[in-house]
Amino acid sequence: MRHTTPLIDKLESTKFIYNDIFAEEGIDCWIKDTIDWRDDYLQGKTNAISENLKDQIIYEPSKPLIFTEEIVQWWIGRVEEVKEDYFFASLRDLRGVESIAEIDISSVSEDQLEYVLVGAEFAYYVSRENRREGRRIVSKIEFNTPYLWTEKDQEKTEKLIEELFPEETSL
Amino acid sequence: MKLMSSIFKNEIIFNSPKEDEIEITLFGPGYGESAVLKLPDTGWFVIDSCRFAIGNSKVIPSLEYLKAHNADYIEAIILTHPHEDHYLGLAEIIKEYKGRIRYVCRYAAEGLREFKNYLAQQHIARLRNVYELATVFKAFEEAKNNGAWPKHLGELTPIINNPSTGAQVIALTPSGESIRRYTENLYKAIAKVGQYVQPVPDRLHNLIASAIWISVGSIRIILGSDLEEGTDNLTGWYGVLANPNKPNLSVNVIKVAHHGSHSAFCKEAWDEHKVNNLPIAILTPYVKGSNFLPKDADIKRLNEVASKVGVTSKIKYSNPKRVYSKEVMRLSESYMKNWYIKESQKEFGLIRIRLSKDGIIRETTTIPPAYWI
Repeated sequence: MRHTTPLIDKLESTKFIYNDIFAEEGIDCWIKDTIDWRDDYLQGKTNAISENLKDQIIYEPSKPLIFTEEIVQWWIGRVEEVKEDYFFASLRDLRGVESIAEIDISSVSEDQLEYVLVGAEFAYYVSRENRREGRRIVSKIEFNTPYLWTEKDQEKTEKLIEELFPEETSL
Repeated sequence: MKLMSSIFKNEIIFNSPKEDEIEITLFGPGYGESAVLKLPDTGWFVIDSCRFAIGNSKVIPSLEYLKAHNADYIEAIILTHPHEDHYLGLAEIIKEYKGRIRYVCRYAAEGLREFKNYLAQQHIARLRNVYELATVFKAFEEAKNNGAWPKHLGELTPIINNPSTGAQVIALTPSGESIRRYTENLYKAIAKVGQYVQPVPDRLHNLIASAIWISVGSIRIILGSDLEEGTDNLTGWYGVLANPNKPNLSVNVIKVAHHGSHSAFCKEAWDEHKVNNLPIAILTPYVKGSNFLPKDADIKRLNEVASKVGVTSKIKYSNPKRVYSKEVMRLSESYMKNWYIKESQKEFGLIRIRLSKDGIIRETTTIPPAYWI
C-alpha cells in the first residue's frame, strides 16, 4: 500500500535511513542538503535530524523499500518439439506433478532463443516481485546453456564407452 | 495362494492357454509396452518390456505374467529398438531367465559403434542417462554367455521357423537402407570438439524399429513396434510392402505401430492387413512428454480398418486448475496453451487374446484400465 510518510518518521529506524539514502533505485524522500547530514550521520556525530534540516524535508509517496522476489511456482521443463511460434514442453514441478504444454516462444528472452532446441532443459518459474512501484507477478524461462563439447570430454568418451559397454558385443 | 502372492488380482489371469492355443498378451501402462506370446508346441516369447510403479516398488508386468504361468523357459526375447519405453525391465527378465533363453534378439547393429559414441556423449552432457540401456546391453551379453543364441533383426530375419509345428516368427524390418540412414544420422549428431551437444529427434530410432510377423496355422499376428510409414519404398511400412519376399501381411491380430500415431499409419499396409477379415487392433498409449498418443483422430482412423480396437491403458489428463493457484494459472495461461496435467494410473491393465490355429478367437481378456473402443 502506498502512503505518504515524512522522512523524520523513518529516521527512527536506522535500516530505513540506510535504505532511503543509499537504495540503488532512488529514494522516495530526501533532504535537500543530504551530503553534510549523511557524513555527520555516518561518522556518528548525530543520530537525529537537526532542527534546521527539518525544513528541508521533501515529502514523496513512499514505496516498498527493498526489492524482493518470492517464487510462487516453478517447473523443470524439457523441450519436446519446436514449432514456429511455440514449443511443446514437458514440465515437472517440485511435487513431481507432470504436465505438458505449448509455450509461446515470445516468453523466452532474446538472448536465450538460440537454446530453444529439442531436448533442451529449462527452469520455468512464476514469481511475485515486490518493488517500489508495487507488487507484480512475473514468469521467467531460463534455459540451461547447451553443453559445449571439449577435448577433455572427447578423452572421457572412450573410457565411458568401456565402462558402459565393457564387451565388444556382437549383438 | 498364487493370487495372493501375485500382483495380478484377477484370477482369470492364471488360466493357462490350452496346448493348441496361440496366446498374445499386451501390456502398455501409459509409458512403455510389452508383448508376451505363447505359441503351441514352441513356447514363450517376450517382445520389448515396460515397467510400472506400484507405490514405491516397480513391477515388470511381462515378467510377472511369465511367473504367474510358471513359464520356465523363453524361446526368444526381442528388443525391437532402443527406446526407453521398449526396454525398461528387459535386463531383469533376461537375468531372471539366465540360461533358460534360446534366442536373444535385437534390431540390427550396424550403427552400434555410432550409437555407443552418441550415448556416451549424451551421458557426459547430461542429456540422457544411459545406464539403464547399458544394463540391457550387458544382460544380452550375459545371456549369450549363458547359451542364448544372439540374432540381429533386419528385414525378413527368421527368428523361429519350426516346420514340425508350422510356427514362424520373422522380423519384417529394419531394412538395410533404414539402418544406413539411421547410422548416418547418428554419426552426424555426434558433436565435434567446439560444438554443442544435441540429441537426435527421438523419432530417429523408429527408423530401425523391428516389426515382428508371427504365423501358426492360419493365424497371423503382427507386432508393429514403432515402425513408421516410411518416406520411400526402402523404409518403414512402405519398405515392407515393396519387399518382393514379404510374407502374407493379412492378419488376425495386430499390435498397432507407434501407439496408433498418424506417422505410423500406412493405408496400403492396412489394405493388406485386412484383405481377408478386419483384424483386431490393439494399441498401447504413450503419455509421456507432449506428444500423447493416441489422439481421437488416430482411434477414428483405426476403427475404419479394424474389427475392434483395444487400448491397454487409459490416458488421463486433468486441468491444471485442479493443482495450481489462480495466480499461477492467470499468469501461466498467457504463455502456456494446451496445458494438461498427467494423471498416473494406479494399476496396469492388459489385453489377452487366445486363438485356435484355425483362426477361431477362443478368449479375449481385458483387465482395466485396458479397454475396448
